[in-house]
Formats: sequence, C-alpha cells, structure tokens
Amino acid sequence: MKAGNRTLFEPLAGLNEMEPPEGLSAQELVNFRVEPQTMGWDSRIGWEPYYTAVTTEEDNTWGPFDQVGPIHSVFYWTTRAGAKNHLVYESDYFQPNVKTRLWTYQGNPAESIIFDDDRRVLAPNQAGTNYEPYGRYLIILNGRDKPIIWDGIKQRTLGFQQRPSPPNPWEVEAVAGTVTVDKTNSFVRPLPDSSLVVETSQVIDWEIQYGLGSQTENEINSYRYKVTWVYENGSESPISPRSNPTTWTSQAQGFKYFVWLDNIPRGPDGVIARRIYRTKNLGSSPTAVNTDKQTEEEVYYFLDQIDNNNDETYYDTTPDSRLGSLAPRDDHSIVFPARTARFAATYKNCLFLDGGEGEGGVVYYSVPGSPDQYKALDFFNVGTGNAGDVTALKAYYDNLLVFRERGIDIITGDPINGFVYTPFIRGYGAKSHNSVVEVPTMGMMFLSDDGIYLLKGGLKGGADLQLQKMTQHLQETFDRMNTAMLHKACAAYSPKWKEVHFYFPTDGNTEIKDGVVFHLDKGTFSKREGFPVSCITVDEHGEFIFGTPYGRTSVNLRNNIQGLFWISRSRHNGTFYQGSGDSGRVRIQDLPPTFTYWSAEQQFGFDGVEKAPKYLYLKLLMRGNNKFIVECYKNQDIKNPIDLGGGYTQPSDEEAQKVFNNPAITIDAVPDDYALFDVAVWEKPSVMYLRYDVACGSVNSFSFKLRGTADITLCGYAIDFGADGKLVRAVRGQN
Amino acid sequence: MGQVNNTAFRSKYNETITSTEMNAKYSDFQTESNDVDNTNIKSQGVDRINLQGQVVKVFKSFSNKAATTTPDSVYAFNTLSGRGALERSQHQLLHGSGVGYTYEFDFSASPVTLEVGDLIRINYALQWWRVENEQFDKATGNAGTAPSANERDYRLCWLVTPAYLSAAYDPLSSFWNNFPNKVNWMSNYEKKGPEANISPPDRYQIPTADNPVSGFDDGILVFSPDGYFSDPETVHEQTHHGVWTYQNTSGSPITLYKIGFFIQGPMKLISQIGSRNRGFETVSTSGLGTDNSVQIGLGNFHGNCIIYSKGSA
Amino acid sequence: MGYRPKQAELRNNNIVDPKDTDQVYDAYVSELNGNIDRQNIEAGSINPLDCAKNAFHSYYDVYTKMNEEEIIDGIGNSTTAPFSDVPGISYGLYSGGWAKCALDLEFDAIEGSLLLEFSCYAYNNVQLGGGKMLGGGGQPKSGIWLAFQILYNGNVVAEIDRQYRPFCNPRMAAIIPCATEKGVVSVRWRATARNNDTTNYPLTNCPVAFWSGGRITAINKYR
Repeated sequence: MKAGNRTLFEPLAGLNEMEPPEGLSAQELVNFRVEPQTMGWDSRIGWEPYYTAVTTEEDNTWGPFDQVGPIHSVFYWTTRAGAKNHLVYESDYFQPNVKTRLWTYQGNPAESIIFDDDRRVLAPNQAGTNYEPYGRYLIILNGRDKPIIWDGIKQRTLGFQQRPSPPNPWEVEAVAGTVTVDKTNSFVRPLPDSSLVVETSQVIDWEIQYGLGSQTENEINSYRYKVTWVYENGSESPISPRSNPTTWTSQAQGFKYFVWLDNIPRGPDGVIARRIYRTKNLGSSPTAVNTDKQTEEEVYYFLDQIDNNNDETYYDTTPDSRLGSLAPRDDHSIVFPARTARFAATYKNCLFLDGGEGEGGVVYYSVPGSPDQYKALDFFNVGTGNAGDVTALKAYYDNLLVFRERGIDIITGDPINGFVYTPFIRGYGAKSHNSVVEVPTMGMMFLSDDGIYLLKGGLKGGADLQLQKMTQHLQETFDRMNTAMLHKACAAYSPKWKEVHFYFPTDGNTEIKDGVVFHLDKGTFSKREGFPVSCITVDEHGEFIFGTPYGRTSVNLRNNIQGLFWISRSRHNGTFYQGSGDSGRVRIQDLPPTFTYWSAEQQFGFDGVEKAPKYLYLKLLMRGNNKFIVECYKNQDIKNPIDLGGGYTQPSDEEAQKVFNNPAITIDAVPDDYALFDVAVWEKPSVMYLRYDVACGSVNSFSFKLRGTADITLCGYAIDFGADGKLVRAVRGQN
Repeated sequence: MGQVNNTAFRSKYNETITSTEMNAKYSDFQTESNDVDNTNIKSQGVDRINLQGQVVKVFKSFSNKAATTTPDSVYAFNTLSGRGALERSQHQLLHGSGVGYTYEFDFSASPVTLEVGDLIRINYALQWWRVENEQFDKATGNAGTAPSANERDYRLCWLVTPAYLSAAYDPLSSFWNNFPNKVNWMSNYEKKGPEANISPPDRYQIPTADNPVSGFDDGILVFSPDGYFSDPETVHEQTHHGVWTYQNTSGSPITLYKIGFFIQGPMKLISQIGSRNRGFETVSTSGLGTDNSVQIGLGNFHGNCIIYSKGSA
Repeated sequence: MGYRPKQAELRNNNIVDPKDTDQVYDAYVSELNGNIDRQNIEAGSINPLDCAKNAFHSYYDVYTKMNEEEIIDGIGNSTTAPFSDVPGISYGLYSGGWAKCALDLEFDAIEGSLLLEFSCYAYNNVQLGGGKMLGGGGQPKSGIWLAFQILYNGNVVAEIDRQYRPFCNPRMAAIIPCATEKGVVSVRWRATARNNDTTNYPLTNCPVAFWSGGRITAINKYR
C-alpha cells in the first residue's frame, strides 16, 4: 500500500496523560532534559556522589558520609559572592530512628563536621529541618529542637529563652566609717571623698555632679534597677523584673552616695552587652519601697551599658539628671514566643516564624533588624476559614505568602505602618514548606494535594495575584501521589538546568522515589525515575545537590547509597556498595538511568478510521553508536509491543562518524568507526532521521516507545501512513 | 597567577584531533597549577577553617583568686607562707604562696619565639590591700606612726614591672630578663625569683627626652596607698587595671619561657635636681614596724597575654 | 567551590564531539582560574607564616609622655619645701583645659576595626584625706585630678573619668570602625584648673601633675 501521508511531529512537547492525547506530547517521558540547541529531549543525565573520590579511593568507607544515615534536609548557603559557601545537611546518625544530626560539609579534607547533635528523630510524615537566610545569618528550624541562628562561624539559640534576673543593689551605709567596704558584702560606705573640705574656689565641684541621693538631712532615698541583654545584632532581651530597692536616709553632712550593684545577670551565648536601667530617686514613696506594687512614678531610665557579658558588678554614681531615655516596656521584648517554629521567612526586614505544631495557626514576627527580639503583640492568629495549619512562609514580590494546608493567605504592609493579614484563596494549599519554590519569569510554584500550582503576579502597581494549576494534564501521576506523606515533598529550581524539580512519595510509599520536572525551556513537564531524592538544594552554579532516604542502616552496615549526590551529566545511575568489611568498596553504577519516550497515541484525525502506518522517522541528534530500543503499539495494546529494532545514532547513508572507543568492548562497534589521534577529525553532531519500517497493519491508533540507557537526543519524529486512499489530516493538539 | 588559556576544541569541527593539542591542554593545566596564587582564589575565598592554629600566635592567661581563709595572710609577696608582706624596700617576683599559684605566663611547655616585630599585649588587674598604719615622714625620711607636725611623703609608690625567662626555670641559676629597650627595672637587684632581694637604695632614671631612643619607661605599674597614713579616709585597697604592649624592637628574636612580674618598693618619684636624674628612688624604711606595709590582700592578680604575629616579612 | 559535578561525560560509542570534551575540561579550568575557595584549600593548611605580613591585622605602637618642655623639675633642691622634688607641669605652664601631647601614633589604616589602647602612669600632688600636704601641718588639700582622652583623627573616642589618686595607671581602650585612611591617634590630658588662691597654690613653681611611660597601641583588624 502506498503511504500517501506524512505527519511531522516537531517540536516535541512534554508529558501529557490526557485522553484524547495531544499529538506533540508524550504519554510517558522519563529521565530527559531539554537540549537547548535543538529543543529536543536529551537523555544525558545521571547522578553521582557529591564527593566523587569515594568511588576511586581504595578504602572501604563512604568518606565524609560514612556515618550518615537517611538525609532529611540539605541547604546550600552561599555567602560572600559565592566565596564562602556552607553546605548544611541533616541525617539520621548511624542508623535510622536513633537520633539525627546536623552536619556541615568541609571540602578539604573532605569531612562532615557535626553542627548540632542529638536532634530528635522525625516522624515518618514530618519534614526535615528548614533553613532561611536572614541577612548575614542562617536561621535553622525544625519545630522540635532548639532554633538556631548561625553566622557561618558561631551558632547559638535563636531568640531570648528567658528574662534576665534583676541585679542586686547593695545596701547603702549612710554614715561614713573607718571601713570602706565591708567584706561580708552587705553595705557600702558613702563616697570617701565626700568628707573632703571643699573649697569654694574649686573650679569644678565634682560632688555636685556625681553621686546619688538627696543632700538634705533626713531625706529618704530609694532606687530600683532593671537589666536587659543585648545580642550583637542589636536584639534586646525582655527587661528583667525590678530589683529590690536600696534605701537610705541622708545625713547632716550632705554626702552623696554611690550604689554598688552585683548579681548583674550574664546572658546566654551570644550576648555581648547588658543594659542597666534605673529609676530616679523614688524617695519615700511607700509603694515603691515597701510593697510589690509598681507605682506610676516608678519609671525606669537608661543608666549605662556594660559592653561585655562578664562583669557582674557595677558602680553607680550617676545622678538622676544624667539618666538616659526611657527603658523598654515589658511588651517591647518577650521571651522567644515561637520555640517550636518549623519555618521562617524574611520579609521587610522582619523574621516571620510559624508557631509550630502546637500552635499551627499563629505567625510571629520579629522587630525589624532584630531577629531575636519579639514584641508581645506582634503576631497573627490565622484562623480565617478552615484552611488548616500554616505550612510554609515565603516572601514573594511585595507579599509574604502564608501557605496553609488548604489555603493561601497574604501578609502585606511593613513594620512601620503595621502588617496586614489577608486571606487570599481557600481550597489549595501546600503541605510541605520544602515544596514551595520561586521560579524566575514564572512565580511561586508549589505542590498541593492534587498537583503543582503557580502563583504569580502581585498586588502592587495594578498587578494581579493569580493562581493557576500547572498539572491539569498529569492527573495520573498526581493520582499516584501519597498525599499523606506530602510533608516530605521537596522542590528546587536551577537556573543552569532551567528546570524545576518536584519530588514526592508515590504509590503508598513513605519515601520519595520519583519526581516531576518542569522544563522552563519548553514550558512542559517530564518525569524522573530512579533518583532517590529526599531533599534537594541548589548551589551557586545552579547544580542540584540532593540527599537520599538511604544511608547507614545499622552501625556496621554501609548502604549502596549514602550521603549527598549531584544531579549531573555524569552517565551513571548513582552508586552501589560492593562487598563488605575491609574489602568493601563504594562503586559507581556503570549503567546510566533508563530513559523512556512513549509518544502520544497518534490517531491521524478521526480515530474511527483505520490507517496504515508505514514508516517511523526519528529525528535525532547523531551521537554515535548509541543503541536503543524502539517498539510500537497498535490500538493501545500495551500487552503486545511490536519490536521495530534498535539503531545507532549514526548517519544511515554516509560514512559513520568517529566515536570514542574502548577496543575491549566491541559489542556496539561498527568496524572502523573509532577515532584515532592525528587521523580522525572532530565530529559535529548533526540532526538526521532514522527510518524504521512499521509493519503493524491497519490501526485506529498508533504509538511508539523509545527506551534504553544510551545518549540520545530526540528532536522530533514523523510518521508515514496510508489511509485507504483517503487523505486524512493529522490533527495536532486536540485539547 | 595560574591562568589556563586554551583554545576550545569547539571551534575545530572537522579539524584533525591531534594528541599534541589534547596533551597541550593538560600540560597547560599542569604548568599553571604550579603557579597558583591569591588571584586564583576567589575573593574572600580563604576562611577561618583553612587557617592553621590561631592567627593570634599565643593566648595565655592566669588568674589567682583569694582563698577562703582570711585574705590578710594567704597571698603574699613573701615566700614566708604566714607573712603576706612586702615589708621593706625590696624587690621580688610576684607570686602566690603554695603550689600552683603562679602569677606568670608560663610557655615552658612550648616556648614562644617573639619574632622581631611581634607584639605582646597583656591586660592585667592587680588588687592590693594595705594593713600597715605607718606613714613615711617626708622631713625625716623615716617610717613611723603618723607624725602630726610633718608632711608625709606623698611620693611613695610601688612599681610592678614585667620580666621574662629565656630558658627553662632553675631556681638557683635562672635569671629574669628585662625587656629590651625599656628602663632596666632589674638593674639594681638580683634577678632571680621568687626570693626577696633586699638591696641598698638606688635609683632608676626615667626619660627626660620627648622621644627617647631606648630606656622607655612604659610597661610599669605604679601604685601608692597615699603615703601610708592610717586615716580612714585614705585608701586601703585598690584594684589597678592596665595594659602594656611591647613590640619586639630589639633586632633579634626573643625566646620566652615565662613572663613574670617583679614588684619593688617603696620607691619615690623624684625630680631632676642637682646631680640627681629624674626617676624613682628607693627610700629608707628604718623605723618601720614589724607589720606589713602592703600585701596582695584579696589575692588578686590576673592577666591575659596575647601575642600577635607580624606574619611573614 | 570545592567540587563540580560532571558537565559532560566522554563515553564509548559517542562521537568525538569537541563540545563534550570542552565541557569536561572547562569546568576544571574555571576552578583554577579564580574560583578556588575555602572548600578547595585544605582545612588548617595555611599557617600564619604562609600569610603575607599584616595579612589579617596590622598593629602599631608608639611611646608617649607629657611634653618635656612643659615639665618643671620642682623648685630648688630644698627637701622641705612643698613639691620641691617632684617633676610635673605647673600652673605657670598650664591653666586648664585639654592639652594634647606631641607624640602621636600615625599609620595607614585599612577599612575595618581599630582597637586603640593607651596606658601610662601618672602622678598628682594630691592627697585624698586629711593628709598634711603643706609643710608643718598645713591645710589639707582637696582633689586635684587628671583625666585622659584618646583621639582618632581629632575625634574623641575614649575618655576616662578623673583620677584623684596620687599615683594611678590610667588605661583606656576603644574599638572603633575605620576607613582606609591616614590614621592619627593622639592622647590628650587635663588636670584641675588653676586655683584663684595663688598663695597656697603658686602659679609658677608648683608641679601639679606628671605622667610618663605612655604607650599608644592600635590594632587594625580588617573587614
């Protein structure tokens, strides 16, 4: 029969699981990237160990990852224009479910250094630790262990975990005596110089300027003190309770007095200064002196700052007239309110935190510029609508997006005029903080219960904030998603690959096996299989670094997969561990990941009419003697694939292009096709068609599948077919 | 600067693949890798983790605190354990009584070489306590009970000066050294420690030029209980905080086994009058009672020492 | 950047594509050509002597004291007259206010922080209590004091309170930010101003304050 019709399918689109199919799309598209020159689907991807020397060194360990169990989170924090980068990750230690550790990775010698130890084990549906840069700090939270703030060198607990205790003013001995300081630490004498005979001609009478208390005989003097701690970023702690009063009665000599303070509380790690506040002379105010009631005149003023976290004593000679500004009120700084915060976002110079699992409906925010300082009333209760707990906070454009289990809210405003909390949408939310990712030119992409959504635009300058579902056509894939385990989902965007990766548990598994990749170059999706990603991050070059749900399974048992890995163009499917004990070795999987391209069902117009496909032309970038399998399906009969034979991506009529060759492996070699130094020339891959005879008779619907592990780039295809003498127009894009 | 410049093969489609060109690429890399310098390192690419040890060469501290027993008798300038005193004009190493109560920076385990240009910086706090109620009569020069008629000698003071050991300590033969280019505060006395060296009165000359060439008088600590008067209004105890820095200007490295502190006194500050040079002069202590003039009453002398390396020349 | 993943892989049966060959190589060339950083350099491998002089900080110090031309050395050599044999400045040469001494510390500062420190010993002809300062049971003397300031390029960056002791060891320290600039650190001092009572407080022959043994240290840590 004559093949009267030819349909060209180019450029190829991505994965589409809809029925009826869209002609340019693929019903299965696994382990491909977009080759930007031809916009074809390129199989050259793989994954390799982050520290590649583990596979070459002749010792039996996983090197820097030898003690690493399943990895729960990873973050590549790049600072100083990429010169100072920190790779932080979190793993179970030695074996699953004993404890977790935070590590930082050191390049040379390759080593994982314990950053925080004895962290609590995650429940199966809990997300790993979250990392949020705030200026020159990295905030590290997981909702269970202490929140950490880290500047790349020193780490400490975020926020003030307690109020300072009040200082202790000594009693003042009103009468001068022979002993200046009593060693029982009970009282101090007046300033010794007060007994000097002061000459009126003295230019500066220093006693008038310094010292406390009234110089009038029988006046009662009374003072109280408070203290705060200060971190290096300027955050000021809650103010201490007031001290006991120190009280004395002025003598006839008109002495002025000093007050000796001790027990000035030292602050926690990271405190670099303490501020002392004091009242003016409370005199004989009975409430101030004798009762616990704070009276209106008991107002505290800045007295002095001790620029260290060491001195416990202070010698106060400052008269009331030299006190500074008003002390912070009790509500200006409170004990860190979000001790179980799971994630944070930096927005308008404030650090926003969720309230944690026990307080999933609260969002706290810090004083601007002071990530450790929280005011008593600076929080939102998010309980508008039944949208569930807060699950992620992401600053985007002019908004802070508050993702909830079944909704998205928006915080706008600024710390000066106040923040405003507005509900935005109900019904769609994100379960995992790690599965929300900002994608340039697109917006904020996130994984919801039924697929991937895109939030784009803003509210400023007439812009419009819009939500759009991206995966309408991938229903089958997302039907398989294990929504109960979505907390483990993760996502990342790479500017180098121009890909957005989403990984999530499927088919009832608790761990991730597969991923979905959005290709910005084509605006379509493909799938990744066999990439065991449990968490993923991107370095400053746009390289994906991922952790896996595998690792040491017991103290003595090394796993096939351990530690961190790159997604790269290395043509390897990860690693395996060969042997055991001293002779065990980490080895690279020689075989690359398997790719699958399964075309859409081609119905050449009305599928009720039978057609007879004659030839299948694959438009490929010629890469050499790369063998793959081509089979086709008739009328969606997946039980009986028809083998069309394999093929090399070599020109079919011209001389074969020269290839790299290992003489020991001749199985795929075409004679004389190998390149010899000083003889062969550099070859340029060309785009050519490979033609396959299709002998499947008449069909209503036709599809073909390419699979293998070779390096191929599929740019398009064409099908010649006859239609019983009637010309039938192939229809593209019936959607 | 190592910089690999190599023509990419990308432009050579259809040109012969030569082993020469291929090898040249790797040779080029090999050559240039011998020439790595700061320009190959990313700006700010060297971090604390890459540095060995401390950028600061040495950090050392000591702290000697009061014991729980009465502070008047435990810590002393005297080797006699029951007599905490510097009771007359003498010179001795500051040290605590008992084992382990040193008042020194001990580098003996790994002696420090103070290269030319290296800087020592010492912060210290010394607290002393006065128990003697005697005073010195300025007219007679004698110590005694408070003279009502005569002016008391307000110039009296004690000097504390740093010194170092350049070899392992041997109580019989080790001599402490004065730091180069300073007034030689050790010159009048035996330079051993910790025994007290009682010596005849003598004098130190302090600079009378704006910018002396050597014989700098810095680095000393001078304190006085105001002429030793038992008036309740005068000061019985004081804490002195201080710092001294010394850059090795001697022209050759100095090996430090220990840095200690000598105390001497009573001294008095005098003018350049007649044949006398301006300086500190020891005073007669005849008539002084058997009690102690001054002692480290609350037992505190602590310090920390940082030595900064100048780095490679 | 410690590691780079493979940018391409040369595999058997692939055509000899120069692009792949370049990509493999170029990734490592770009490492050498200016991208070596903390992850490449061995931890703890650089010791201070590997670093250039003043690589991390530089420090400077200078000796300083009260200007010699302002010091009088007592009056005569009488052993009984007051202040006959102590050195110091007199009210003939000083009538109050801040006086800068001539010996400054000058250096080229590099942007970062400066730790400035000053210490000296000082003397006042003062006694605090009922001491007999003037010959033969004269009047007690009220407080004469000394105070000091550190100036950096003319600005006061540290000041200590007045010292009323006969002998004291003033010490000041300040840590200040600095730019890459010419840095001049100076010390100023101040004593009690002249008294109207010139009988008991003569103008010309009574040393009132003396200080010496000063050292200004500046440690410049770079940003």
